[in-house]
Parts: sequence; structure tokens; C-alpha cells
Amino acid sequence: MTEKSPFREATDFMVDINQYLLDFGQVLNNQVRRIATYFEINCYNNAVRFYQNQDFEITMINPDSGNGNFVYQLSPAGNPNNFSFFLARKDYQENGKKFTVICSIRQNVRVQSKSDNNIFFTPDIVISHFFEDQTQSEISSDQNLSFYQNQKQKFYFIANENLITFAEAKHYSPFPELIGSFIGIVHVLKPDFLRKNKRKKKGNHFAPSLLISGEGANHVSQIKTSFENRYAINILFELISDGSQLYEREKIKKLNKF
Amino acid sequence: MDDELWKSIPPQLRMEIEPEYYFKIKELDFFLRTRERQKPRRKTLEYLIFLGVLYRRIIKPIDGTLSFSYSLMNAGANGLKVGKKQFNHEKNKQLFKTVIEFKKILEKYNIPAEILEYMAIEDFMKSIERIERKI
Repeated sequence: MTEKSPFREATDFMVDINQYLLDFGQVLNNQVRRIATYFEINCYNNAVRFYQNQDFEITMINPDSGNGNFVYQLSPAGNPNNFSFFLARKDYQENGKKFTVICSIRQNVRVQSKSDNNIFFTPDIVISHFFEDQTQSEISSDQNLSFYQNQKQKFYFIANENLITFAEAKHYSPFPELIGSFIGIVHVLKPDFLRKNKRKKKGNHFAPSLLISGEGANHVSQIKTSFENRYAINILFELISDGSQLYEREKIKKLNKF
Repeated sequence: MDDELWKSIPPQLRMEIEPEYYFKIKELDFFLRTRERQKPRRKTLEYLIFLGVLYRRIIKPIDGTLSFSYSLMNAGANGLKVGKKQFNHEKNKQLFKTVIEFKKILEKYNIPAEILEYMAIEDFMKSIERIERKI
């Protein structure tokens, strides 16, 4: 049987698309306002796959005890201990010495500023130290913050010294100010990464990363190149088409890491 | 694409797709100025561009989320819970079907999903010419 082609069987092709839209247009329409969330979830999954491809052992932590679902944290409002996350662990040798890295890969947890204990930002993906012996938790809480007093719920965050790296996912077309504001977040959370000499392509973790769904026009691509040459960060475009930029073994060789 | 077809697309979906679609059509027209052979195929190319925008902006993020819920199930979870919404086979039959039926159209007409993931229209047209030679 001859294989069908959208050009040779053009009429059938168009009829099939029309019929698809009639059958499923409404289902897709109902999903449109969730696409930004889906994009963020895809980026989170890709971050987990990055660690898998860096030879980390990945374990799911804290699924819902009732129904066994992985509970994704969508906003910083809740207690992170009530949400699921992945644990990444790797034993490796360097210069004849043995090392173990254990980190948690969480979503939407507040992180304390490097320079001011009363300032917090919430990246979409947060990689932090995990204390296997449970002598301490990477999640802290505080009810005495001046801007948070009289609130019933505790204020949960990751202390800056426990932050390893982070990524911010944006379902937008990139524009200069979006990239500029990311530099501001790096300045607050990981200012050391704004030094050129911190740039390198080897390491267990990706450098702070901005993950953008849309494609970059000439000018923003110029900004991306300029910033990636000056700072130890990653700015990735077109992730909605090519999420593998963050996890495929060949592609992650190009990322700034540490 | 025909106005009638646009009218049949629900409003939010249309708003999400239309701007990029017309942007790509402008690029296509610019490209076709010097490609006489491709001109008669413009309408099919319009549909392929529409399919590409729909894939990149809507289908792919949904598919990625459903795939994530699959891999979670392989890791021992029952599925994925985001806010009040749950993703697993039972809860999302309709959504799974929507993605599968889209992929069936691609399969039926031998359209590899990768050719819908282009950035520049020149790359898209090169891929189109490549698959035409194969079929």
C-alpha cells in the first residue's frame, strides 16, 4: 500500500484536521489556561532527567499517603513537607577521594536571599542539599518575620546555605527585560554565579538557569550569548519544542555547570 | 486556512494559536516568492503550519505532562496531582485520546513530529522537501 502524503492526499488531510478540531477542539480549549503550568511541569521533569543523565540515582519522596499520587507544589503557600519531590544521589571519585552528593529537586519553594535573611524568592525548580541522616531539614520555617506576623500558617523556606542551584521556567516569548529580571534573581540567590571565572562546563549541577518556552529573535539571542559569556548561568529558549536541551547527554555538555 | 475552520475553533484555543500562525504564514509567503514549485501547495503548507503551531503550543506541553505522569507511575506513584487536578489513565482518558488522535494524523500522513518543531520557515520547508522525497 502506498504511504499517504499530506500533499498527494491533500483533501483527505484537510478533512482529517477539520474533523480532529471538531472532535477535540473543546478539550484542547479547556486546557489552554493550564499550558503555562504544563510547561513548568515539563521543565521540572527535564531537570530530574538532567540528574538521571548525570548518573544520579533518582528516588521519589513523599507521594500522597492516601492515593499514591506525586503531589506537585504549584505555589509557595503550602508546607513543602506536604508535597512530593525527587531525591538525587551520586557517589563518585575525584582525585582519588570519594564523594557523595545528595540533593532534593523541589518545586516552588521559597529560598532565602544570600545577602538579606528577610528576603525570599521562589524559583520554579529548586535544588537543595538533603540531609540523609535527618539531623536537620533543608526546609526551615519562621513565624517572626516582620512582614509575616499574625499569619496562622508557618512561613516555609530553604535557607540560602542549603540552596545548590535553581531554574526559573517562563512560558513566554523571550524579551530583554525578562532575561534582565532573571539576572536580578541570580543576584539575590546565587550572586557568585555572576562572576565570569565561575563559568565551566563540568560538574554535577546545572548553573542557575532560565528556561523559556518561546523562540528568541536576533536581539534576545544576542543578550543570551552575551550573558552566558559573562555569567555562570544558562538561558535556554524554545524549550516547548526542545526540552532535551536540559537533559540530553550531548546537549548538557554545552551547559554551564559546577 | 479557511475562515470557516477558524470559526469552528473555540475562542481561547484560537487566541493561543492565531498570532503565531499568521506570523509563520507571513514568513511562508516571503519564502514562496522564489519557489514556484511550492506555490500550488500553499494551502497544504498552511495546514501543516497550523498543525505545527497547535503541536508546539498545546499538544506538546500536554503530552509532556501526561508522559511525566506515566514515568511517575513507573516509579510507583498512582499518577500526578497538580492542585486539584489529577493526571492518570483513569482521570484523563479524554486528554490521552486527544493527544493520541493528533499523533494518529501525523502517522497517517507520514509527518514526523520533529518537522513541526522548526524555528525558521526555511528549516520547515527543507524538512518538507526531505519527507516528500521519501514518500
